[in-house]
Amino acid sequence: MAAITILTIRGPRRPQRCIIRYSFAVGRALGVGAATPTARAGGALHELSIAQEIYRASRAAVAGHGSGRLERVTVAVGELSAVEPDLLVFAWQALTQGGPDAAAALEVEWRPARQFCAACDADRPRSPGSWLRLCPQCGAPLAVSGGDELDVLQVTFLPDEAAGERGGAHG
Amino acid sequence: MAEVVDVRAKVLAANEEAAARLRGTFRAGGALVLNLISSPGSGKTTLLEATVKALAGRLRLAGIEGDVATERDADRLRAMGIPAVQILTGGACHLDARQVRRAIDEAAFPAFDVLFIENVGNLICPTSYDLGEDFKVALLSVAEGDDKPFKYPAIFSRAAVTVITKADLLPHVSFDLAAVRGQLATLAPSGAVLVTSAKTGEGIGEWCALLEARLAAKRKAGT
Repeated sequence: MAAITILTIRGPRRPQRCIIRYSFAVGRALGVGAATPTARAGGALHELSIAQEIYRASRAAVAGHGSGRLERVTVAVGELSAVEPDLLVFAWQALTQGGPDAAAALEVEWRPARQFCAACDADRPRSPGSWLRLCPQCGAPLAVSGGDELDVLQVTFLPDEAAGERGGAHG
Repeated sequence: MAEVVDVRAKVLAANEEAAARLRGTFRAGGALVLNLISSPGSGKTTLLEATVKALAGRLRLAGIEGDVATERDADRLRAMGIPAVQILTGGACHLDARQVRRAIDEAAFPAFDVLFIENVGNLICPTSYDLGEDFKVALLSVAEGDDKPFKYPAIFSRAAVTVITKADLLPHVSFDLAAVRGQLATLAPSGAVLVTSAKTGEGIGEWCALLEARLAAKRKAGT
C-alpha cells in the first residue's frame, strides 16, 4: 500500500484526480488490486507538496482580488532551495490537470547561488551545478550567497466575467 | 482582460508560521531543539543512542522520529529510557512543522532540555522545511563518500553543525576528510564540524559539550 499512497494527496479538490489515477497505474505495475486513495496527515512527495503550497497561495491571491481562473503563476526557485524546477512543473501539471485551473502555466525563474571572493571583491562564475573550492584568481576561500529563494512572485488570472465572455465554464 | 497580482510571498509561508509558533513554545520551555538530517543509514538514531548514554543524568532528552514506516526508531529511544514519539509519513519524504506540532501535542512529553527531531532519511526534501528548531544538524557517514557536501549543497550550507559519523571505518574506506572540511568551509564557513564514532566513542564527548554549550547559550539569551 505504501507505494500507492506515496502518490496520493489529501483533500477533496478535483484537480487531484489525476494524481489518484497515477497511483492506480503504480498499483497495477506492482500487481496490486484496486487502490484507495488515503488521506494523509501531512505532506506528500516533495515537489508535489511544494506545488500544493504554490496552488494555495495562488488561489488566495486571486481570492484577494475577486475570482477567476489562473492563467500563469511565476515562482522563483533558488539553486539551494532543494526544489527541482522540472519536477515542480510536472507536479503542478498533475495537480491542476482536470480542474478549473488546468490551463494555468507555472513559470519558474531559476536563481543561482553566487560564489564571491571577498579578497578580490568579485563574483567567481562556475559551470552550472559545480562548486569552486577556492578563488581561481587568488586562492582565497569563497563565500556562497543567495540561491535559497522559494517564492511566489506573480499570479495572472482571468476574472470570472472575462472567462464567461469566452464561454468558459468555471468549476 | 487578465489581471496580474504581485504576490512576493514565500511558498512555504504556512509552514514557516507554524515553525515560528513552535519556536516560541520551545523558547518558553527553555529547550534546545535540533533537526537531524542525513541520508538513510548515516547513523542518526545510533548517534542519539550514544548521546543518551553520554548525557545520562545530566540533561533531560526527548525525541521525535520521522520515518516512512515502522516505529523502530522511537522504540530504540524508548528502550534507552527516553520519551519518544514516532511520526509515520506514509511515503512523504520530509517532516513539516504542522506534523511536529501535532506530535508534540499528542506526546505530552515530560519537561525536557534537548529535543531531537530525527527527520526522514533524505538529504534533499527536509532541507526546505523549518521545524522550529534552533539549528539543523547534517550527518555524513564516512562510508557514503567524500563528495556529499558539494553534491547536496542545500542541506550542508544550512546545517549549523555537520557530524561525520562512523569514523571507526576511516581505515577501511576512501574518505578524504580534508576534502570534506574544504567543501564545508565553502558552503558553511561558520558551521561546526565534528568527527564521531558511536562505536568507539570518538567525538561523542565533543558533541555532547556542543549541545550543553548551545543549550546554556539559549537559556542565557532567553533570560
